Amino acid sequence: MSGRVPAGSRSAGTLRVRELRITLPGPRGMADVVDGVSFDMVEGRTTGLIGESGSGKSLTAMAMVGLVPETAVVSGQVLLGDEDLLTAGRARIRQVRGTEISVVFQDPSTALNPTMTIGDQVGEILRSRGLSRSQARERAADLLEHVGIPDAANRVRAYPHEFSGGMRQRAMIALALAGGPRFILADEPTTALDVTVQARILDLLGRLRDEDHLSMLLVSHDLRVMSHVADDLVVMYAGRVCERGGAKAVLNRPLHPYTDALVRSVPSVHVESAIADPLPGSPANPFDRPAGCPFNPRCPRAEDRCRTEVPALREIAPGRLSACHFAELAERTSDTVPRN
Amino acid sequence: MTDAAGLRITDLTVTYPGPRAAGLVGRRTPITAVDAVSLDVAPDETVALVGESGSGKSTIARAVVGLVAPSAGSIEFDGASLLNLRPRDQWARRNIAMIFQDPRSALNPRLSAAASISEAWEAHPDVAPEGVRRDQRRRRAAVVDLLAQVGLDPDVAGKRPTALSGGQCQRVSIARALALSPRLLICDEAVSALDVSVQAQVLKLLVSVREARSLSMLFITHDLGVVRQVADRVAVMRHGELVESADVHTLFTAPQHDYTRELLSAAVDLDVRS
Ligand SMILES: Nc1ncnc2c1ncn2[C@@H]1O[C@H](COP(=O)(O)OP(=O)(O)OP(=O)(O)O)[C@@H](O)[C@H]1O
Ligand SMILES: Nc1ncnc2c1ncn2[C@@H]1O[C@H](COP(=O)(O)OP(=O)(O)OP(=O)(O)O)[C@@H](O)[C@H]1O
Ligand code: SF4
Ligand SMILES: [Mg+2]
Ligand SMILES: [Mg+2]
Repeated sequence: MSGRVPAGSRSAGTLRVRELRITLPGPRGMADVVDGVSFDMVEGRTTGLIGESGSGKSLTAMAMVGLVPETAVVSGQVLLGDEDLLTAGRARIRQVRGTEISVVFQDPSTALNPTMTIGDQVGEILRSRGLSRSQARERAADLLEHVGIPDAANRVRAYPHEFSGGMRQRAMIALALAGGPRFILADEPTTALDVTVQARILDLLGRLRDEDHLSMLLVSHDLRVMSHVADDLVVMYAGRVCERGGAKAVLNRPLHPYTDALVRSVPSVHVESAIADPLPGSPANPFDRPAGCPFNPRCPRAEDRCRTEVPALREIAPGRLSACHFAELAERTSDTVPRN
Repeated sequence: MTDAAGLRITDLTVTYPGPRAAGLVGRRTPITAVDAVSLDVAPDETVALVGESGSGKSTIARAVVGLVAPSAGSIEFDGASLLNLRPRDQWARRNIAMIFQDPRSALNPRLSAAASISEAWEAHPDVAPEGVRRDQRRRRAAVVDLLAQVGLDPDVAGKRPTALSGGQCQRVSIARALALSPRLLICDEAVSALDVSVQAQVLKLLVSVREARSLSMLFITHDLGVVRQVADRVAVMRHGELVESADVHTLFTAPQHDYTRELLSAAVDLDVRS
C-alpha cells in the first residue's frame, strides 16, 4: 500500500477511516473484532460514536492513532489529508498524536502518569511546543482552570491519585487540548462529571469546534448528551457499523433495530420512567458473530434471511446508511415511531 | 436493634493533606473533602448520592470500606462501628462490597476475570456458593453464571483487564461485588461505562438482588436519569457538604436547594428535534 490516494479526493480538513479492520487472537483463533468500519471526521463537526459495550469503539478510536494491542493486526486506511496513518511509521504517528490528533482516553487513571504532577504533565506538552518553563507552568494552570478544575493554581501540584474521578477526566481533557490539535478523539470524556461541569466542558469543546474548526470524535453511551452535541452519528454493533447518518435524524428515526432499541432505553431525567426492558439474549461477542446479521439472535424483526445473509451497510435515504435488510421498508413505512 | 439496621454515617469528616506549596518540602494546605456529613441507608433501600464532581462522594465510599480514615464522625453498619477495627474484627466489613469508580484500575491487572471473581470466595469462604472452593467445574459454572447475569460472554472469564473494554471491566467488578453476597453494596459510578441497553439489564439485576436479599444500596452517580429510576432517596453533595436530601419524587419535582435546582436544569433529556 502506497499510503497515498489520488489527489482528487484529498481533503486536509477531514480524517477518514476506511474499511478499518482489527484482528485479535481469541479463544477460537484470530477474529475480526473490528470489521470494515468506515466514517469521516469532518472539519468543524462532531461525530458521535455509540454502540454496545464491547462493540469495538475504543479499539477503533485507538487504532486511528496507532495505539492497538501488540497482538493486533490492523488493515484499512486512516487518512489524514492524503496520508495514510496506518502505514505512516511509528515516528510519524507519534508526532501526529498529541499535536494534530489528541486522545482523551476512556480510563484517565491508566492514561495519566501517576508519578508526575498534573501541572507537569500538561506543562511537558506545552514545552514541547516551544513554551518556556514558566510560560508552560502558567498556561497549564490556565488550561486546567478552563476545564473547570477548582483552585487550579494550587491543584497543578497535585498527583493524579489526589484528584477525584471527574477531576482526572478534566485533567485528561486539558492534556488533550494542550497540544493544540485539529482532531480530538474523546472516549467517554464526561462519565465522571456532574451535569453542570459536563455542560461547561461540552460548551468549551463546542466553541473550539466553531471557532477553531476542531473536529471531534465523541465516544459516549450518553445519548442525551449525544443528541445535543453530535452532528453526525456512527452506531456500532459487534465490531461493525450498523447505522450512520445525521445525529438528530438517526436518533429521531433509527433505521436499524439496534439503534431503535438503544433510543428506547434512554432513562429520562425530567419525566418519570421505568427501567427499560433490556434486549433479549446476551450482548454480541465480536469474537464469535452468528451467521447472517450479527443482531439476528436478539432482533424483534428478524426473519429467515437474517440468519443466513449478512446485510450490507448501504445508503437508504440521502445521508442515511443502515445495515439492516429491511431498512428501506422501515424508511418508507416509518414504522419506527417518532419520539417527542 | 431494628432502627440501627443498615448503614449509618454520622457527622463524617475526612481531610486529605492536599498538594504541597512547592517542590518536595513545601507546606501542604489540607483539603476537607467531606465535611460533617450524616447519611443513612436502611436495608432494602437505595440511596443515591449525587452532586458536584470533586465534592467528596467517592471519599465517603472509601471511608465506609476503610480505605481512608475519617478525622471525625462515626460509621456504623447494623449497629456496629466500622471505624478503628482491630484486625480480628475486620469481618464486620465482610457484609460490605464496593464497585469502584475506575473499574479498570480497581481490578487486579494480573488476574483473569474468573480469578478476580472467585478470589472473593477464597477470601470469604462463608459466602462462597456450595462446593465452588473445591470443585473446579462448579467454580467455573458459578463464575459463568455471574458473568451471564451482567451480560458477559463466557469468553470473558479467561481475559485480563487489559483485554477487556471499559464496560466489560465494569461488569466484572459488579459480578465480583455480587459474588460476595453483601448486605451493603456501594456502587460508585457502577454503570457509567455501559450502553443504555446493557445498563438496563444491570440495573434490573441490582434492583432484584436488593429486593431478594434486603440489601442496602448506596448508589453514587452523575446520571440523574438512572437516579430517578432506581433510587428511593437522593442526597445531593457540593463542596464536601450534603446540601439536600429527599425522597426521589420530591427531589425531582420540588428541589429545595439552589444547587439541586442548578443540577436539574443543567441535565438534558434526549433531544431529537431537527
Ligand atoms: N488487548 C485486547 N486483547 C484482546 N481483546 C481485546 C483487547 N482489547 C479489547 N478487546 C476486545 O475487543 C472488543 C472491543 O473492545 P473495545 O474496548 O473497543 O469496546 P468498546 O466498544 O470501547 O466498549 P465499552 O463501551 O465497554 O468501552 C471487546 O470484546 C474486548 O473484549
Ligand atoms: N488521595 C487524595 N489525596 C488528596 N486529595 C484527595 C485524595 N482523594 C481525593 N482528594 C480530593 O478530595 C476531594 C473529593 O474527592 P472525591 O474523589 O471524593 O470526589 P467525588 O465527589 O467522588 O468526585 P467525582 O464525581 O469527580 O468522582 C477532591 O477535591 C479531591 O481532589
Ligand atoms: S437484518 Fe434482520 S436481524 Fe438484522 S437488524 Fe435487520 S431485521 Fe434485524
Ligand atoms: Mg471503550
Ligand atoms: Mg468519585
